[in-house]
Amino acid sequence: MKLLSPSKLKSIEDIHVWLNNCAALAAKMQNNQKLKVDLRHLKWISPAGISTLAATLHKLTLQYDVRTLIPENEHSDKVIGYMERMDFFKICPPEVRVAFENSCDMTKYYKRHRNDQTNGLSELKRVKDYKEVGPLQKSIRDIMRGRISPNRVSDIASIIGELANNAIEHGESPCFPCVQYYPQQKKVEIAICDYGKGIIESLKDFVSFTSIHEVVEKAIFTEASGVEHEDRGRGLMEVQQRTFDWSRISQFYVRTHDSAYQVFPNQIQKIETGDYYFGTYFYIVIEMP
Amino acid sequence: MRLISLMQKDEEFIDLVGRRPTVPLKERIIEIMEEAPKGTTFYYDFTEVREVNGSGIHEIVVKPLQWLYENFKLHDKYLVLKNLSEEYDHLYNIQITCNKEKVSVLSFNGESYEIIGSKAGAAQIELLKLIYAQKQVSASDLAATLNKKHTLIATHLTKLYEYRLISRQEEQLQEGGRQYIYSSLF
Repeated sequence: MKLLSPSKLKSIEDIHVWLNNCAALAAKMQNNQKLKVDLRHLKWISPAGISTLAATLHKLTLQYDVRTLIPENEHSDKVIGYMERMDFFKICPPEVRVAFENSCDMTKYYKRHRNDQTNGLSELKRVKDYKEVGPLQKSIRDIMRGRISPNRVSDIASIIGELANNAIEHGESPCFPCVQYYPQQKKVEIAICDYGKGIIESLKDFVSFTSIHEVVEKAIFTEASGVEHEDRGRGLMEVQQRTFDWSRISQFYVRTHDSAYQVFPNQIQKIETGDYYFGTYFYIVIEMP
Repeated sequence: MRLISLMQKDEEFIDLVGRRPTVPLKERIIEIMEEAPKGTTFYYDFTEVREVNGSGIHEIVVKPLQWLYENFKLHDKYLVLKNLSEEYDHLYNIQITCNKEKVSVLSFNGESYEIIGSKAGAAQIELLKLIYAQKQVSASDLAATLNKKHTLIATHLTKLYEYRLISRQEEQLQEGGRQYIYSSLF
């Protein structure tokens, strides 16, 4: 069986297409079957795409015997270079890294001199334990300090910390965060994805709803929680509030269960519905005032 | 004042992030609060704390404060936050959660203090500042200073006492009757 990547893994729509492809495959395949993950046509990838690819490849390699076909097109040098810059090859499953190393000269990427180590980039990480969340917040604070106002740094660190805790506790999965600051556009892109059970599966038994989209809405705008008898359920509310507190034009996307959504200050809007696949995929773009 | 250390043995610092890791700590804090003598003022020393986020603050600051509010008649205990870190932006982060949860707490760094959270209103904060300047004061003193009705001032002071922002002791008056003397916590 073959899993074909789209040419772009940048936007929430691209991520949705990729996850639908994963879902279609999951419906047909048995565990331990051979799977070719075909990235040959991948030309563009964003931080959200990197995080999504890492999360899904970890899930796929847990289930199947994965063989990866690496990007092979006019943009492949740039794509692989960016993936390396984002530390993708330190985080991806070993068999994926080996596929790249066997198919092209990766030493030229590994040995590149990184001129600017402090350019507002928090490379891809794998966070699987609660103990790693504090150090993750601190690393983001250290990288962003001096670039944006201290309170905004706190907001970004806190958004990542809350989403990482949610992935570990409710998704029961490691998560894959990365953050990129773009000084010229004055924006910060946050991506954090996991391959856990998703918002709906973790919350549906604890809230009343008429459609599954309402479960996502309640997860973000109410104190609905999958942990009974405890006063909690504020994590996603806080993420939403911190995203929009300083700029109402920030962009907040999430793909979970079978749908992609855009979150606004007072509502969510479904972008597209497809098929169920594991995980929750957050992509947040915060505009700086 | 009595320190409640937030760290476990052998730790150099603690991160107050997320629910699952902070719930056992909150339970230990409330146990310590329950067992201490009536009237105790506790403090956390935030030089022990590195990163925080909303969930961690809700467990470690908000929930113990709510316990103090609910049990003030029986326990009459208080909580103060000391030495908030600028490096980790503690004040901003704690302010956000305390505002949202409508609790108030005082932070103190040895020289100055901050009133965090939105439980106390503007008129009450004005009185609070006078009390912290004078350290001890009665409702009559404040009513005379501000030229306001004694009953209004007494109502605000009772609220500040219930919000655990000031303490009070009952005093016998020479001319007969009793009054409360309100005191700052530090």
